[in-house]
Amino acid sequence: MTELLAPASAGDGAWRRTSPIGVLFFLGRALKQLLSSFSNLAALAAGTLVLVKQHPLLAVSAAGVGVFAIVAAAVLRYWYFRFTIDGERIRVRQGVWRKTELDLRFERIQGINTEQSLVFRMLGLVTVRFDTAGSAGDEGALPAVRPELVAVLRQRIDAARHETGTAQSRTASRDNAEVLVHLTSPDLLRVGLTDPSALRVALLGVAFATPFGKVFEDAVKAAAETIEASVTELVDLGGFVVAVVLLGSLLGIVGLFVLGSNVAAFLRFSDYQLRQEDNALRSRAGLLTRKETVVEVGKIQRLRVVQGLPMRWLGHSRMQILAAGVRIAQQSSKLTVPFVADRELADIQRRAFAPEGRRLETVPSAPGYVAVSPFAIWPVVLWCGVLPAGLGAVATSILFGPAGLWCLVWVVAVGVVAWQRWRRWGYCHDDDGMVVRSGFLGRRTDAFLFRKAQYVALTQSPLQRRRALAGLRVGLAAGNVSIPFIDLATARRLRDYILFKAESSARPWY
Amino acid sequence: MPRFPNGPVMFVNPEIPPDALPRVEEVGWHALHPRFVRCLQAKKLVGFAVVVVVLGFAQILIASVPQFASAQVLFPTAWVIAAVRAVWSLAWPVIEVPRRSYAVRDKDILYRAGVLWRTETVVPFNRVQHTETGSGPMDRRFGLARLTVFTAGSAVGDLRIDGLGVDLAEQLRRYIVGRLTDANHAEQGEHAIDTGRTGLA
Repeated sequence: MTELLAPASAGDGAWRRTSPIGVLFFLGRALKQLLSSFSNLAALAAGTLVLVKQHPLLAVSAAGVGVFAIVAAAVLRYWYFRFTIDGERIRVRQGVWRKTELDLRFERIQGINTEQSLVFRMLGLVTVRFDTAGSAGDEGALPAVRPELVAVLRQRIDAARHETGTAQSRTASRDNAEVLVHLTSPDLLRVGLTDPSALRVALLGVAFATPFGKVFEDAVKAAAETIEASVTELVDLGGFVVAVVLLGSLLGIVGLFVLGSNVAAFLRFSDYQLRQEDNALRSRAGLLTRKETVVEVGKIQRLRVVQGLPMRWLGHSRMQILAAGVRIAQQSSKLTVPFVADRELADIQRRAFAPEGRRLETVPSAPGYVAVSPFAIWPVVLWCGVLPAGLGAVATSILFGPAGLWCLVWVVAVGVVAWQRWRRWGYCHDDDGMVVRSGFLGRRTDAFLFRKAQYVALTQSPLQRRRALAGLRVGLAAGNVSIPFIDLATARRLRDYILFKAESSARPWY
Repeated sequence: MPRFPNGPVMFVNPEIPPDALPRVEEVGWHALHPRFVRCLQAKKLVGFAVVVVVLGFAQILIASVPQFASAQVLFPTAWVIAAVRAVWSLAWPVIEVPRRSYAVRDKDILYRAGVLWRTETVVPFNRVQHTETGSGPMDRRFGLARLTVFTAGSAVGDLRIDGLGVDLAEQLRRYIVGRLTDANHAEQGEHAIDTGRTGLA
C-alpha cells in the first residue's frame, strides 16, 4: 500500500487510496458525527440506561454491534475514498452509497493546510485540507497521506498558478523559510493568562460572587443567631470560615478557568512557529494535533490585530491574518499569531503587504492615528443614553417620585463609555492602504490595501449631514471595515482614491 | 521565458494628483422607474388588505361572543393605528423613492438611497463576482425588475437596485457582465506582460 504513495508515482493520474491508517480519520469523523448531534446522544444514553437495567447481556451485545457498525462504516468509507492527481487537478471520489466526486483544479486552490494528530505524527502521515475560495468543507480533506505528497501538491499548485499568471511575482521575497515568530513556553503561559475568555469568566465570577457572598454570610449569621451560640467569637469565627471558604472556592473556579485556558493555549499553540517561505506565511503549532496553516502573501485581504488590556500590559498583541472568504468569527483556516510583540507585528505587516503599504502602522499603540470627529459620541449618548434613561426616569418618577431621576446617571455612564470608545477610533493611511483602529478598553486595528476593496460605501446620518461629516465603509473579501464620523470632504476623497486604486490595479486582488 | 529580477517592473503606476481623480459627486444620477412608487404602494396595499380582513374578522368574532364584550374597546384604537399605517405606507414611497438613484460609470456602478440615513455604495466592475436580475409577482405586473450585484465581500449582494424597468435591468446586467470580461481580459493581459510573456495566454 505504501509504495502506492511514493512521491514518484504520486502524479501519474492513477486512482489510489490513502494509507490504511486513514481508517482512523474516518473513525474519528464518524464518532464526531455521532456525538455532535444532541438527539443521537440522548437516544444513545436512554438506550444504554434502559438496556443495562433490563438486559445487561443485550446491552453488551448491542454495544458490540454498535462499535462494529461504526468501525465497519469507517473501513468502508476508507475503502471507497480514492483520489487521483494529474497535471492540473486533484479529484477525490468518496461515498459508500451516495457517491461524490470532488474536482479541484490546482489554480482554484488557495492553499493547502495540514493537520497531524498524535498517531499520524508518529507514523509520519498528514491530513491535508484544501483551502478554496468557496468552501469544499470536510470533503476537501485528504486523510493520512505522506508528507512527500503534500510537497508534490504544493509544487503542482504553484506551477498551475504560474501558468495562468495568477500568482504574484515570487521575487518579492527570496528568503527561504525565515522564522518570524517563535513562541516559547513562557509565552504560551502568557497567552493562556491573557486569554480574554478566561478573564471574562473571572470578572463574571467576581461580579456574581460579591452579592452572593453577602447573602451567604447573612444566612450563616442568621443561622448562628438563631442557635444563639453563647460565645460571640464562634459567630465571628464562623463568618471568617465562611468568607475563607467562599474566597477559596471563588479563587478555585477562577483558577480552574485560567488553568483551562492555559491548557488550551498549550494544546493549540505549543511550539508555535510563524515562518515566511517563498511567498507564503506559514504557521505550525499544536501539542498533540499539529496544524499547519498557509496563507499566500498575495491573497491576504486583511490583517487584524487585537490587543486586550492584559495583552497591552505585556506589550504584546494577537494577530489574525485573513485571506478571502474567511470571516472573523470563523475559527478554522485563518492564520492566528497568538502572541506577538510590536516590532514583530510591524515586520509581519510589512511582509504581508510588500511591496506596498510601507508606511502603514498596524501597531495599536502607534502615535500616527488620525482621530475621528468627537461628534461620534453624540448618537451613542442619544440612542443608548438619553432615550432609555429619559423614558426610565419618567416611568420611575411616576411610580416612586423624584427618586426616579437617578436613572439619569445612566446618561453619564454611557457618555463615559462613548467618550472612551471615541478615543480609540482612529485611522491612518498611506498611498496603498489603510489602518483603522477601534476598541473600548483594549484596542484592535484592521489593516488592508486599497486595491483589495470590493465595494466602498459612504453613509450619512442627519447629524452627520448637518456637520458635514460622513462614515466610510470598505467591503473586503474578508468582512468589511468602517470608519465613522470623518470629515465629508476627506471621506469623499478617500472613497474616490480607493475606487481609483481598485479599478486601476492590474494585479489580482485574490 | 525571461523573468525580471525585482518584481513586476513592467507594471506602470503613474502618480495621479488627488484632485485629478474622478469624483463621485459629479456623476449624473438616474432616477428609478416612474411606476416604482405605484408598485411599492400596491405591495403595501395588499399587506394592508390582509390586515383589514383579519381585523374585521376578529371584530365580528368577538362581537358575536358576549363574554368578550370588554375586548371591543380595543378595536377603535386598532383601526386608527391601521389607518395611520396605511396612510404612511402610501406616503412613504413618494418621499423615499425619489431619494434612490443609480449611476453607471465606465468602471463602476453607483447606488444611493435613504431619506434620513443615506448611503452611497460604489462597486467596481472588476470586483463583481456575478449579477442577478429578479422580480416578484407585483414587480412583474408593473413591468419592473431588480438588479443585484454580488462581490466577494458578502453573500447577500452588495448592491441591489429595485424598481428598474425589465429591459433596463437586463441591459444593465449585460453591460456589467460585458465590463467584467473586459476587465478580466485587461487584467490577464497585463499579467502576461508582468510575468514576461507576450500576448494573451
